[in-house]
Amino acid sequence: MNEAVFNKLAEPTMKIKSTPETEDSLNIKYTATVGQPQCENAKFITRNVNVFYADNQAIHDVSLDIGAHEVIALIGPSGCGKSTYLRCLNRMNDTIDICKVEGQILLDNENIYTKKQDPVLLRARVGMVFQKPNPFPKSIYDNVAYGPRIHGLTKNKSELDDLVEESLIKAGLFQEVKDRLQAPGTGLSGGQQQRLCIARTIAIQPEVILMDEPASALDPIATAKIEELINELKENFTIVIVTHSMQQAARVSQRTAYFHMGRLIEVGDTDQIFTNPSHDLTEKYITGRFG
Amino acid sequence: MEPFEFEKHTSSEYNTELEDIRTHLLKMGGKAENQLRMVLNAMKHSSEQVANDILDQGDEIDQMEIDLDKECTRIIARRQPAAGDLRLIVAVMKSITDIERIGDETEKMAHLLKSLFKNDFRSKYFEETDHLGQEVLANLSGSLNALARLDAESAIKIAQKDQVIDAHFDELNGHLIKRMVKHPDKVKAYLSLSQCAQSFARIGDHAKNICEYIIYLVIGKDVRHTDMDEVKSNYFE
Repeated sequence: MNEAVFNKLAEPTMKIKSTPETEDSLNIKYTATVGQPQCENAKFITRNVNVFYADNQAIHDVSLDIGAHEVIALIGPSGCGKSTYLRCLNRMNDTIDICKVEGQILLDNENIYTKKQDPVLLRARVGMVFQKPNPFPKSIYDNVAYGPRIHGLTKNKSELDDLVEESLIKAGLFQEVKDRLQAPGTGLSGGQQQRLCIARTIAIQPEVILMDEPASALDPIATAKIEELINELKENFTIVIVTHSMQQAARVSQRTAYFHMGRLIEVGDTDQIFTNPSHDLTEKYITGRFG
Repeated sequence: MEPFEFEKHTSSEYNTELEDIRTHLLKMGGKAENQLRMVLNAMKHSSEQVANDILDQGDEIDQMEIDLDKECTRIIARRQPAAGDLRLIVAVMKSITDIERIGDETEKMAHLLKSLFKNDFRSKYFEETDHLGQEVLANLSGSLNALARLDAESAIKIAQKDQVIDAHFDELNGHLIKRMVKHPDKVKAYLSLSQCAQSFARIGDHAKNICEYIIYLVIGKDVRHTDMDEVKSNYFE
């Protein structure tokens, strides 16, 4: 789809007209998105984020707040930039040589794209769960203990045991694996492996968990367990989830952000987005008219 | 206001399913409208035969309600509709309840009219009641047309007219009560006429409800139990 066609499509044809530019409390000007891109008690504040893969711009001027202890779902058609945006939040894009990130991404009001920011420490604060479960070729115990060991989070074996147990409990896996903690993590079922990865992520006590289609490779029961877990985890963590399943976004999130061709089109309460979206593009996508 | 689109889904089968429930809803509405016309016809010509025809057709609307309910449930289960599609299903499921009750009111009136015809009751208030019925018919037809065209602006105008119907009913009912006091021997007949008038007013309320569902469907705002003038100034000016 070329730019002119996109611009025509992107015109809100329903009630809300987006203003071209606005200013927020930090006096940062940004291109407005329909809905409520800002929120109170923001954990992440992102402004005018542009991402380029060499000459190809993948994200255009995305400005979005992510509230503390909220679950926000990023939805949109394939290639819309939602995963690219997610990966900006813990500098995973740093690992791609041709990737360039512009704009401001603040975690607790601190810019994470400064030279003094250690990406490894950032990723300890902002953990990530991927689409495909990727346990290390180690025991269940060692998978969870790996992060705390390298970050020196515990003083002795007993504390580490407690942390592993607590993380497995929080990930809803402990009851299923308590008698075989030394068994290989790769021997678990797909759903259990994904919960092991979540346990591994929360063992290093992050503040934010990024989830990139965490249940797309799982069956409905394992998916339901992950969704139940997300609901419980939001008490302690801020969760940003990228999902292709609109029903999943509707079930697990409090806010939903709709991306289209690298632009953030609309953000709003999930209830509102799924019953009465303000932007024509959002309506067309969630009702299956394209995507 | 942009026209509401039900088509253009990636799945053409889904387009057909949504279009089908809309068509069936309009057919059901048309049936109820026709029943109301028959009531007015029966009243005008004191025709017991027409009243019997209304009673004979009562089951058709009930069956349409059951079929549409089933179709909507199936779409929810299979398609998990969202946004405008979801509002369409909700609006259809609510509208059919109102239309079915309109059908019930016409049957009730058919019974009342039959008993009045049997006793050869004559009163100038038949004409007044008929006048109320004509107003209600105009509102019901208008609401069904607005539903066919998904015209929220017409829906609000029709919903506003329900106040006039209610006022007309109160006035007519007042007269009928006075008649009952004055002619205790005809209480039963006047009471039947009053119940007919009440049924017309109820049908007016159902037509108003349909208008509210149209507004919900088109603009996504729940305007039930809200003053219509307020709704108009908030969303249509």
